[in-house]
Amino acid sequence: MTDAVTIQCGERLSIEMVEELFSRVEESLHNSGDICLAGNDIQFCDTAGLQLILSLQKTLTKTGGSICWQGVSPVLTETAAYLGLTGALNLSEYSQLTD
Amino acid sequence: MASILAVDDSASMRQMVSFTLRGAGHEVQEASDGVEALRLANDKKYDLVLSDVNMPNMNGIELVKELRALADYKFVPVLMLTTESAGDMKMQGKQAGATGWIVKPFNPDQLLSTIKRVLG
Amino acid sequence: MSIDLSQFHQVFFEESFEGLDVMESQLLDLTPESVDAEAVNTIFRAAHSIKGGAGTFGFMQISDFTHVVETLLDEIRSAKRPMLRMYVDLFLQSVDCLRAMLSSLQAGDTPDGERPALLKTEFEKILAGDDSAAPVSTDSTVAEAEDVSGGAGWRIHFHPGQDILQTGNEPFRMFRELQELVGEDSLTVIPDTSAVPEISSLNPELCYLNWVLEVRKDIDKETLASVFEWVEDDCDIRYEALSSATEDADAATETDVAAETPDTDQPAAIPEAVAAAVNAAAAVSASQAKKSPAKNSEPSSIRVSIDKVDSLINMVGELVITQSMLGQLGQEFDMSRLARLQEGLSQLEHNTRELQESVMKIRMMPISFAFSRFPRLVRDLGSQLGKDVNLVMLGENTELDKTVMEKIGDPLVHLVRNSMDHGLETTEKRIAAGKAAQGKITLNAFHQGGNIVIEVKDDGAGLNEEKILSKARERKLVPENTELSAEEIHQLIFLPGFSTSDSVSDISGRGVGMDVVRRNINELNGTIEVQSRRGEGSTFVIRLPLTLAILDGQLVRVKNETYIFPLVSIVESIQLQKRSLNHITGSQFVMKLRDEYIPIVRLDNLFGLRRKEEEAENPMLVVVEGDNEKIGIVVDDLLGQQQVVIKSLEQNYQRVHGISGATILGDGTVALIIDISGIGKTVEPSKTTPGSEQAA
Repeated sequence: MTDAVTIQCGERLSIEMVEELFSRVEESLHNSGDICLAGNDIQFCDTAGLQLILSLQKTLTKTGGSICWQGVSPVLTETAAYLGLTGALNLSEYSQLTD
Repeated sequence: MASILAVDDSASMRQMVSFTLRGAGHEVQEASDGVEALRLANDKKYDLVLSDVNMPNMNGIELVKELRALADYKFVPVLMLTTESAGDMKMQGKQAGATGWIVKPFNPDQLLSTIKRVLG
Repeated sequence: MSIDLSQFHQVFFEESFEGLDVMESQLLDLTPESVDAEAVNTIFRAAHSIKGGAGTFGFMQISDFTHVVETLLDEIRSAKRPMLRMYVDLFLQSVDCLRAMLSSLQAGDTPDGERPALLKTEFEKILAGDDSAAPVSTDSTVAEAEDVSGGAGWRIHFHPGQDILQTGNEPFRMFRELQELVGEDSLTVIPDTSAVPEISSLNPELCYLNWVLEVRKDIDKETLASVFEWVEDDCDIRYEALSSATEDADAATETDVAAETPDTDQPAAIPEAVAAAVNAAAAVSASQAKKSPAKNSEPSSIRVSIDKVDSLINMVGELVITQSMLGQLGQEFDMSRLARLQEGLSQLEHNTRELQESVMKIRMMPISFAFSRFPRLVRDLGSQLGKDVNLVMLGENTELDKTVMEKIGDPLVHLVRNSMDHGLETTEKRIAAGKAAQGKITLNAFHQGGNIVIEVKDDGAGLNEEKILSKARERKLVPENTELSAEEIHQLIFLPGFSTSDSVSDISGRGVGMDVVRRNINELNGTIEVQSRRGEGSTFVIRLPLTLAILDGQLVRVKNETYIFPLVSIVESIQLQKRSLNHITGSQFVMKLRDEYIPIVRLDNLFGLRRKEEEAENPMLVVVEGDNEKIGIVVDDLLGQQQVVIKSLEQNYQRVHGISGATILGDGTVALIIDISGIGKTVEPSKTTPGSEQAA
């Protein structure tokens, strides 16, 4: 198993960007078991964006891998909280920090 | 704040809408019918489009259809300003791809609280 | 955030009046038998906009009334019922009614409620007569209406449609709104991620998530449902009351539903809406009455297209460049740069002229604004007089100055009324004379030189010369035994106190004669004449300057002063022959010019420019015509002709008899503009001519 790959989430983790992110995620799946997400730049995210992360997590769990966060922006934790996805996205520890 | 395209053939409605939105810190571009709106939308990507339904040249329903065909506007929220409280016009708008509607008459506060549903 | 909506009222009024004009003209063009769908659409749209605006700006009387108009129009538009002649009449009456209501609102008054109420009843009768009217609300919420309040809160099962994200609807914003509604502590969001597939089978733009939302607050369902109103048709949403939902449900419903739901099509909400409307209207009129003590001081405004403004800004930009270029040139000027100076000055002249033309263009509007009232007027008057009249309007896009337009409206109305009443014969008489049963009135406008010409033409009986002449003699307007040509007789109808109508009719015999029409037109520096042929009809020809702000002037010198004559009033200029002057009635000079005697006025006497020195060597006589009366005015010299900008003397100084205004000449001196009609009046009662002591 190689080192974890880092995926930059960019400034917008939202529906108009998910196609592009989707292909990057697909790409990274070939290389690695663990994937780190850099979410510190996120200025806006929405259901479609977070759902993609959930899907990625599901995929990794099946192969024994996992996702980890490398930086989390306040917008990310806030939106996840509105959608009730804080726990599912492993954001619990960050949400307390940024509250 | 957001950049908003306000489309209405009535100048007073347009002025009220843009005055309210500008007052809330948004950047507003006005258009008096669908044709003009479409031209503006082609030049720049707005965060939100507010459009009247009944307009000359190109009505609001046609405008939504045209906007949804543009790559930039696939997901941009479009709200119809409509007096038709009957479901018919709302359905037409939804089918054309509108995000939602604001029923006229509305006051500035209602406008601002409604656009929060699609911005931020 | 509170915004003062009254700042938009003026625009609302203006566009509503425009909308009413559109409705009116479209209605008049409508043939009920073969209705043009686009026309009905246009009428509907106008009514619709007025209703929407009125509701927004709090004019509930207007929106309330327009609602029934709009409803009937909508049924016609969607082919639920045919367009009938009586509907057209009713719509036209509604247009009048709305116009009156808007006018009183604009003036800060409370509109009369009686007429709209009567008309509204008419509409309601029509609308009620149809079963297909009164659409039954099929909102799903009505069926579950008994289940509207959750005592301890609600569990909402929210299963979005897969497409929900694609039209910009976003669950997190809905939940955010919900949280604002009930408070952060009262909402729990429980996601169901089980349907989210692995990456390999994910379509990232679809929504696979479902939620259960627990609201622990006593809130009515309507309010909760409003959060999801845009998506309720595409989503599966179930509301489950957290405790026994039915207890004291009624109490909670009525207050909250009325307060929170904007939907007024719910039958239960209508009485409240009406009450609110009445209150609001009362409040509006009360506050307006307080706010506007000066009723008629609403500033009139012009809508100018952005293009025109842009081109102006452009030109001002060029002007500034020229100015800075000249400024620089002036600082370090020597004769070697003379050519550049001249070039710069001619550039400046060019810029200034363009700017002037563009600014004047802003004030120009198509004459259709003045013509637009005539289809209605002719229609109404025709039915009143029992005459079938076809109105033809030509040159509607001919432009003229807004101020001239405003002032020409009334004279035109009078002329058209006159043509319909006196000009056109009754249908029987027309048939007897072998003419088409339908009479024809033509309004025609076109530009000629610097003037606009407006013709009002009828194909009626033409002027009756004998009748006119005998009436004129009867009234001592013409001396007995004078021979007059047909042309001259025709002009008699413009004399004060002349009216040929045998009986004073309701239409044009209101004591306002052609003399008033002519005076109004003269005040605009215009002229009116009539051409007529027996049995074929009459044509009134009005000639007006395109604008009141600029005048084509003839500069003249009298002693050391320069005066300006409106070029349009000058008939001819001749050398003054002292020997052809005659002295009549002791005070007034007259001169025989060809066949007629014309009174002579000396401006130096009139304006008190006395000088002991000799008369000018070759005085000139300028023959002018004002109020159809020729006068000769003696001046020392004719100078050039030029366009002058008219400055009001009244506003800057005071009204001076015989002077209509002033202008500033190229060298900076002020020149007075002669009021030809005013001067003409001083000679008419010849015995009291101001210049009499000089002539003696």
